[in-house]
Amino acid sequence: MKRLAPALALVLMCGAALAAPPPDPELGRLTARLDALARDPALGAYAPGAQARARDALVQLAASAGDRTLRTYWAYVARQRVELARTSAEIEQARAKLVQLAQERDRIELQARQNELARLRLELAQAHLQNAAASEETQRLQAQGQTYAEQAQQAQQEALQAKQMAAMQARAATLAKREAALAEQAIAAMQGRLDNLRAHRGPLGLQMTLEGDAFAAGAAALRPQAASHLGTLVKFVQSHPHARVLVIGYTDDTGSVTANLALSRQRARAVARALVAQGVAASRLRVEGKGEADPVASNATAEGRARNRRVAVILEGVSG
Amino acid sequence: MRFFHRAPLLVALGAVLLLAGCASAPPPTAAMEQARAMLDSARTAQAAVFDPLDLGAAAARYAQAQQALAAKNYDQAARFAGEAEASAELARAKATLGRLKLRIAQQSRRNAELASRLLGTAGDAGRSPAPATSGGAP
Repeated sequence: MKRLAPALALVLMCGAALAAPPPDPELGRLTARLDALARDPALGAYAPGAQARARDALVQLAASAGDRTLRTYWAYVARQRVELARTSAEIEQARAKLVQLAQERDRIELQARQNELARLRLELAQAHLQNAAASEETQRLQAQGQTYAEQAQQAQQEALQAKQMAAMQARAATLAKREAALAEQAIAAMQGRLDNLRAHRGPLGLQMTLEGDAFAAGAAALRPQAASHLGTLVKFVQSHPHARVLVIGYTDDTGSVTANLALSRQRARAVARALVAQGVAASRLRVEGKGEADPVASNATAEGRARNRRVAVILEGVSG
Repeated sequence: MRFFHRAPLLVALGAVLLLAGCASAPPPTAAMEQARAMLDSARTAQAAVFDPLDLGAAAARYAQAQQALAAKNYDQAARFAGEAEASAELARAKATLGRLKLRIAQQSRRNAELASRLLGTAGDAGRSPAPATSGGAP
């Protein structure tokens, strides 16, 4: 080291002589700016090439300290290069930011697609639900419609039955009316026959025969309609005021003989009472019941049986 | 140690070479060509819009370089050409950065709109934050 001391002093002297101009403020400013960029936590790592070129320019600026023209030139270039280094770093930072934004956009679009998918699934589920509800409603309405149809059919049937019943009742009424009319006609016919009774010759004398319809079925008394039309018979009996009158009742062959005898006798008596009531002397009258004896027609037919049910009023010994 | 001994000698030699260079420098064709190309590149990058100041300086330096070249002042022409290239490169970089910043702004806005739309259609849970997002974007 003792040997080096003179040499070192010489070098320092030479250096002092060479670096005569004062330290360049421009160089210091640009160096500080470039150093600040290199230390910047956000930008420092970017654009190392541009930073190196700026550093080269600063070296050139430092080296050109002795030459004013060169110094001016390198000062200009160094300013541009330091600024270029910062700008280049910012460019790279911006590119990184763009990549980040693109990734963000991709994430958003992915999320959007997932949301859309979820929304579609929800919509689909709702549609299924609504569909199910609609079909349920349809089924319910169909069932209701069926019930209504059944009820309507039942009502229709009931109406038809009512109508049929009404028709039947009307027919029954008509029949009853016709029956009543027929009965009336029968009565009228019976009365007509009573009014137009004709005397005919019998084995015991002149006689008139009342047919069975002058009595109600099974009854012993004369019908009132018959009792009021006995004028012809009374006239016939009174035409021979002194002749004895024999009244004989007959029946058809239905029923017991005893009952028939009793019934024929009661009917003969009823006719006799009616004659007395009309002024015929009771002393002239004799009553007999012969039951089913001496039929005038066959009991095999209804017409024949009707003719056999009769009361004969005979003027004994009168030959006409 | 020997290097330090020879330092004055080297400095003297450099000065001689420099003087010799000044005396017989050829036209700076390559430097002019590079400056020209860098100016074109800066204009293509829309430096006229994004950094007219540095582009203007570069154009002016290039014009001075042409004048110096015409005056056969080749050293000066070479320096002006170098300055023109440095300024043009800076202008190109600033234009590039400017365009990138525009794109970043556009993309940020689009992302915000997209997110807002996404949140807007995200159902009941996403509806309340949606206006806050869209309101905060501008």
